Amino acid sequence: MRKLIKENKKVLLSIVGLIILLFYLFPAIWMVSSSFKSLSETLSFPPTIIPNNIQVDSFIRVLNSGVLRFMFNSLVIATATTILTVTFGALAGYSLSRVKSKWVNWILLIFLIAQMLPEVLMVTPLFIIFSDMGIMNTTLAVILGKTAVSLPLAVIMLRTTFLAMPRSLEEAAWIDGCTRIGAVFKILFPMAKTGILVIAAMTFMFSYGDFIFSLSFLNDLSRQTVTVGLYTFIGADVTRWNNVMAFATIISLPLIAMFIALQSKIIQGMTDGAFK
Amino acid sequence: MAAKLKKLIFDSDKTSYFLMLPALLFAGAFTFYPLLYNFYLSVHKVDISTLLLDNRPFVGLENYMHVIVNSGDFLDIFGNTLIFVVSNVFFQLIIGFAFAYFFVQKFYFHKQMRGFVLIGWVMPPVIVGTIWRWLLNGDVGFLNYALSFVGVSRIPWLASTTFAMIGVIMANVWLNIPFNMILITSALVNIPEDVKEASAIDGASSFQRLRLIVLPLIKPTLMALAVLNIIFSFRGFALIWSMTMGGPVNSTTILPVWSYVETFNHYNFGRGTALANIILILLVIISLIYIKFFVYKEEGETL
Repeated sequence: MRKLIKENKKVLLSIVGLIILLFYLFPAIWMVSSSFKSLSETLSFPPTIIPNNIQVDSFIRVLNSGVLRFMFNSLVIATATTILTVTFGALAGYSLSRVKSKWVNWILLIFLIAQMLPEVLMVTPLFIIFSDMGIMNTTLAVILGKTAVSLPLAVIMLRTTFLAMPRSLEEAAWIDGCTRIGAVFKILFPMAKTGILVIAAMTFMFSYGDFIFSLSFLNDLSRQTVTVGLYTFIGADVTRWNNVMAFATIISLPLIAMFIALQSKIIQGMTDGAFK
Repeated sequence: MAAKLKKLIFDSDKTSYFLMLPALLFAGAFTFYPLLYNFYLSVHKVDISTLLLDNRPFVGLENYMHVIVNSGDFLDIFGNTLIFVVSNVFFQLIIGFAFAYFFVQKFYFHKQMRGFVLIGWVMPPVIVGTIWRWLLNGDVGFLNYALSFVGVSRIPWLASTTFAMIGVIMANVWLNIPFNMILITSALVNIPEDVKEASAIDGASSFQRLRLIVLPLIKPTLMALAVLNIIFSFRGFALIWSMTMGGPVNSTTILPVWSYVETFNHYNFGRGTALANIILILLVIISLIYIKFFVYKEEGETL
C-alpha cells in the first residue's frame, strides 16, 4: 500500500514536472510554432498554438534571405574564438596551477575582475584600438574582442581543473624521457578533456550569439553574424512574425543540437565548482 | 643560443612560467589596456570632431559632469538600472530556487527535464529578446491573449513607458532562470544525507525543513548567486537593444545601454566611456562588499 502511494506520487510529480517544463519552454515552442504558420494565421486572434495550416514558406523565404551566410560567419567567429580561448586558457590554467608565487594570486584576482565585466565596457576602447590597427569591419576584430571577454573565465575554470591533477603524473612522464611541454600536451591535456570540452562548448555558444561586437565592428551586411542578421531582418519585416520566427528557429539550431549532444557534460562542468 | 632559449621555454623548470604568457599578453593587449584606455578617453573630448586627432583636448571630469548633472537623464536611467537589477536578482533567485527544489525530487525523468530547462540558457539574448517581443505584441501577442482569461485587457507592453520595463525584465529573468536553477541544484544535492534524515525523523514539516535547514545551508550559494545576478544584469544590453533599443523615451534605458548610445549613436566616445567607468566602479564596489561581508564571514564561521 505504502509502495503504491509512493509510486502514485512519483507519477504525479512527473506530470507536474512536465507541465512546468512546457510552461517554461513555451517561448521556444512558440518560436517554432509561429514559424510554421501563414502570415494571416500569425495575425489571427485568438492565436493558435499548433498551426491549423502547417506551411514552410517562411523557411524558404528566410533561406533565400542570406541566413546561411550569417550562420557561416557566426560559425567562423565562434570556432576561431573557441580555439584561441581554449589554447591560451588551458596553457595559462595549467601554468597558474603549478607556479608557486605570490604573484599568482594577483594575476587570478585580475582575471576574476575581468571575468565580471560586461562587454559594453570594452566595446568603445576596442573600437578605437581596432580602428588604429586597421582591422575594423573584419571578422578578426570580432574574434579578438570575443576572445578577450571569454579568456578570463577559461583561465580560472581550467586552473581549477589542473589543480585537481597531481604533480606526480608529470614527474613520472619526465622520468620516462618526456619533455616538460610534452608532458603537458600528452598527459595533462587529455586528462583535462572534460573541463576543456565544457569551456570550449560554453565559449562557442557565447561567441556564436555575439551581438554587440558584430553590431559595432562590422559594416558590411555580408560579414554580419546571425544576431545582427536577425535584428536587421526584423527591421525589414517587422509585422511578418512567421518569417522572423523562422529566422530565429534556423539560427538557433546549431546551438540546440550542440547543447543536446553535450548536455550532461556541460551541467557537470558548471556545477564542479567552476563558478565558485 | 636559439636551442638554449627553446629548451628554457619548453623544457626547463621555468616552462610552467612561460605557458601563462600567451594569455597574459592577450589579456594585457585586449582586456586591460582597453580598460585603462577607457579612463584616458573619459577625461578627454573625444567625439567626431576630435576622434582622429593626435592631441584630443583634455577636459578633466567634464564628461562625468555632463552625464551625471547636465544631461538631466542620470537619475531616471540610474533608477531604471536599479529597478532592472533588483527585479532580476529577486525573481531569478526565487524562480531558480523553486525550479531547483522541484526538480531535485526523484521522479521519472527528473534529470532529463531539468536538462531541458537549460535550453533557455543556451539561446543567445538577441533571439530570446526577439521571441519575447513577439510574445508581448500589443495586438496579437500571446501574452495578452493568455491574460485575457483572467480579465486583463490588452496591454501595449513594449510600446508603453510604464510596461516596457516589465517586459524586458520578464525576458531577462526567463533567460537567467536556468543558471540559477543549476547552481542552486548543486547546493541542494550537496546537503549531507544525514542532515536530511535527521530532520525527517525529528518530524519537521516540509515547510519547517525548508526554512530551518535547507535555506540556511544553501545561503552562501544564494548570496554568491545574488552577486552574479547583479553582474549579469549589466550584460543586458543585447536583450534590451533587440526588444526596445532602450525606449520608449528612455523607459528601458539602463546604464550599459546609455553608454552604448553615447558612443555609437551620438559618437561621443568621452561620454560613453565616462558611463562605462561609472558601471565599472559600481561593479567593483558590489564585488568588494560581497567579498568583505560574505566570503570572509563564511571562512570565519568554518574555522
